[in-house]
Amino acid sequence: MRFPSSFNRLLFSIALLSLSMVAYQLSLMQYLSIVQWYHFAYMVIAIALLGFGAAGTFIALFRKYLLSRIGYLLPLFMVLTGIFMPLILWLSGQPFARFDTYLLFVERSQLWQLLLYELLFFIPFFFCALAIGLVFVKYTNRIGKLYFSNLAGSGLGGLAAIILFWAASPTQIPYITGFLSLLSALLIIPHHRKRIWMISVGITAVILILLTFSSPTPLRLSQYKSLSQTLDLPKARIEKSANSPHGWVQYITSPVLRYAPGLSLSFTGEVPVIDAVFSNGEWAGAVLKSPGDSRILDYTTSAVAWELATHKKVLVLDAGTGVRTQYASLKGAAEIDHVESHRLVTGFAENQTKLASDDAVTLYQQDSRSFLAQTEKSYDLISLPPIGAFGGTAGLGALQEEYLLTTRAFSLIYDRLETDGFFEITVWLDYPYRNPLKIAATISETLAEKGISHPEQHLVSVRSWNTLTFLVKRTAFTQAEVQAVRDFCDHLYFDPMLLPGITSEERNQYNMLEDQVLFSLTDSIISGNRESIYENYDFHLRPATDDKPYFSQFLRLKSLPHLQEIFGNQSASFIELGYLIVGVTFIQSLLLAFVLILLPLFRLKKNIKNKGFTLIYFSGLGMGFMFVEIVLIQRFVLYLGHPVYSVAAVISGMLLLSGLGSWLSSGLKLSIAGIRKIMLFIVLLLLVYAGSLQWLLQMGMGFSIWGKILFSLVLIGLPSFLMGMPFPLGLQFLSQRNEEAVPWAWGINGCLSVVSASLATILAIEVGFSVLMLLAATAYFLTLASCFLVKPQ
Amino acid sequence: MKLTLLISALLLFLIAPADQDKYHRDRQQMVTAQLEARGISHEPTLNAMRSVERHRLVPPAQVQYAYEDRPLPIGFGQTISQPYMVGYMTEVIKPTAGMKVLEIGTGSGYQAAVLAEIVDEVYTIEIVEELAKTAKSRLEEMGYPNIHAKEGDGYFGWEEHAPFDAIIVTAASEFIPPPLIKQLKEGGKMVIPVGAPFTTQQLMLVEKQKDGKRKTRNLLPVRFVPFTRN
Repeated sequence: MRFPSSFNRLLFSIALLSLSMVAYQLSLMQYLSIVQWYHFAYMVIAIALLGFGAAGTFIALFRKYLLSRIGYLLPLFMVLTGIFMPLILWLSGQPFARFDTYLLFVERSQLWQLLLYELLFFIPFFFCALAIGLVFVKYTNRIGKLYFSNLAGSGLGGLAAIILFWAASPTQIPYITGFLSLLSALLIIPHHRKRIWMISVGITAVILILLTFSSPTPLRLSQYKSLSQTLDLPKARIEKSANSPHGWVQYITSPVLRYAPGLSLSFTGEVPVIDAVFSNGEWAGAVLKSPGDSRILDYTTSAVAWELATHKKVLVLDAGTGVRTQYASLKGAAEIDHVESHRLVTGFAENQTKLASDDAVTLYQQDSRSFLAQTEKSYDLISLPPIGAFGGTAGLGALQEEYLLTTRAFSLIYDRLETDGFFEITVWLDYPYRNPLKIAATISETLAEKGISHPEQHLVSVRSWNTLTFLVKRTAFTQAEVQAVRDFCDHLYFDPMLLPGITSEERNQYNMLEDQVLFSLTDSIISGNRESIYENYDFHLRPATDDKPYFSQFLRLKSLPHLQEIFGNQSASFIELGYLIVGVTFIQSLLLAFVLILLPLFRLKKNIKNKGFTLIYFSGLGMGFMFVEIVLIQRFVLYLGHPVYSVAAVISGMLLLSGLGSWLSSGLKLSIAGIRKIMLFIVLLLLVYAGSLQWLLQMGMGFSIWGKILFSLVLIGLPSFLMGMPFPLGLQFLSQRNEEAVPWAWGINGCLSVVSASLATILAIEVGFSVLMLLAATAYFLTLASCFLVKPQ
Repeated sequence: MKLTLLISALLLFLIAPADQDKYHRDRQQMVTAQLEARGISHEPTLNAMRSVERHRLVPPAQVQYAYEDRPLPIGFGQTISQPYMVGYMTEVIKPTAGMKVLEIGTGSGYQAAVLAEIVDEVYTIEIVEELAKTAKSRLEEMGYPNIHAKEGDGYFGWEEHAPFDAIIVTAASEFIPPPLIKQLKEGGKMVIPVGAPFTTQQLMLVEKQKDGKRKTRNLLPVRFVPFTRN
């Protein structure tokens, strides 16, 4: 057997370390989604970049010292990476570091806790980047191969993460990735004191493996997450738990869990006890213990859809645990299509619901938007999942892409209705009013797009004290149907809000509102006076689109002072908490990037020539690359059906292909004029993407899974390949003219990448993906322009 | 050693009353600035809130903030309501001596204590074991013999002591349990706060009318005036 040469072992070691780091990064996103909220996914990207940027600075400052000791520092950094991966998770759950998103605007100390939280998670990325960076500096003559092994490993890390999500729990994965990092160290341990190294690394690796199975790191969820609150209930038990790329799912039982959302006050019977499924610590659905228990929905506003007709063909979108499917079956639907992408959610409920054995039900494990794009069937009733949460959501869904609630989705839903078909959606009432108004706006714009001149004839809405169900009919509601709605409301103490021929008295009969604001705003929206409402209301009410799929993002920053005046500083924060958290993390990452990356490099600045070029060129690259990455992640959420698949595909694809691009470019020996040409290609390509990527992805929605993967690789790979070139070319150019500028350039790029990760999220919400892609093109254009600041050699 | 003990005792003797004075002042200020200034005028409610020692019902880490104009975390994802909200909810049911009130969700015990200052009997139920135990022992220490607290599922109410003149549901609920409506006297009032934790924007009043019909009324202690540029 022939052992690989030491350099080949180094290549393999770097690939393995990179793989473990990207898999860890993705698992960290899931971990933070579970213990905190979804917002921290983008914080993880910024923290990872911060680790890499800071390591670059550290190497620049202590280059000679580090290189003279690389023999043992390299495996040491790898070992530390491996140890800190799980250790950080444990530390972040300890009382001194415990942070709770919900308390951010209640307790000032939480701001420091958040900072500490970020710094803790920064550690493994820093050590990993030190190891990789040291190798790059040491073997500059063989940088092409090393860079490729780094990026190929990183690319495979995305794939490894998907496998690990299925195979291990969220707290086990960091032990596994830590073990892989230790393996990477074992491949390159120094000859000097080899035995001691082997024994100590080997023992650590064995400990990590043993700890993987015993999982000593508890998942300490925020006390405000619905899973934490449910587990505080008497005799609450976790019956089943499993992980998947879609989320960490748990099946909970408790004798006091009951389900009757917005139950009519006329109901005098027993509310059924249920089980419940949670995904990433959030409520994913009730599990009824018998199909008959769904009869409780007869006493909710959503029953109005069944009051008017017996629907034979029913489509249940984002069907979750199947409560709406069971109800449709109970009401006599002959053909029910249950569409849910989260396999575990439907699967966990299956023991009780037995949906698979119901002849009327067909289960589709598919994303609702993909299903709508592919199906050619028509339905009598299409049911959407309830929107919002009881009493409002505190704005925590603000960053969630909700592609089922865009105007395009509603248009597709409308197109799938039979001639007399309906679609229904129930909204939890919030205050100040946001969700019901935005749903009304989305429906109105959909009806307008379909050429319906009297939308009020096609729309019914029924209100209880806490829910509001909208029912849209393709043809106008008949008089008999209108009367049926009135009888339904009278019987159950509900009030119609929208009904052909409605009077103002009957809107406020059983559930009285103190003012008419909800009614007057809804009327204005339906009657076509939408623009002035969009412009003047304190919250964003303009419907979500596929370009800005943030249905739950309502906050307008300019309204914040007005809201604070009315509700007080603290309550105003809780109306739209999610977006404000992004703002706080953006400011913190800006400060951290400055302090950890840029500030230390100022010592080197005085010897640098071509300052203007270096600053603009590398700032543009850092910002442009990150903007493109964030847009691609967001766009591919819809195309691939889930954020985790999108993040894995985009991060892996971009790393792999930009690595290939940079490898090839290193052999090109391009002049500054050559760099300009590449930059021009990138700018043009990004302009094309800004205008056509959404359209291209819509065209490819109906492809098979393999077709989708191939199409994704092409669309992600093409710009990535080109975007991989300017960075090494720029460094190469600098190193020939003024080597002192190289670490400074590295730091500027790192700093802008960190800042841009959070900034891109904010920009995506504010201006949409197409404009963000245009901004990316602008950033690359600035980089191109900076090339004219230096004379060609 | 003796000297240290003596000094400690002396300090305690001097500091403790000073603290009590401070809390007393804070309470008076709270009632004036947070309740009266915002329109709460029900005298028994104001008096009750001047008396109840809120700082004794919050976790130690929150004592210094006890009389601030905001809700505070008490653990288990629960909060002690903003003083104004407690005052508003109390005023809405118009409590008087002789009444019997049921509270669902004891939480910190503060709402029960405020009610107990006014009405004859307060029955309070808390589902989270730890919260129920803490609140019960604190309320006993504070000397409220007319508060009857138990740990249990608020869904069923407290049938042995029904009917109630009023029911306060302090923990927001997605539905109103039918047994509670049954245990409410005809003409009685039930109040429920609606909103995510740390927000206090809405209150729901449920009225059981004499004709058997049930109506709700959305009360808005904090009125949102939509922004209009013109």
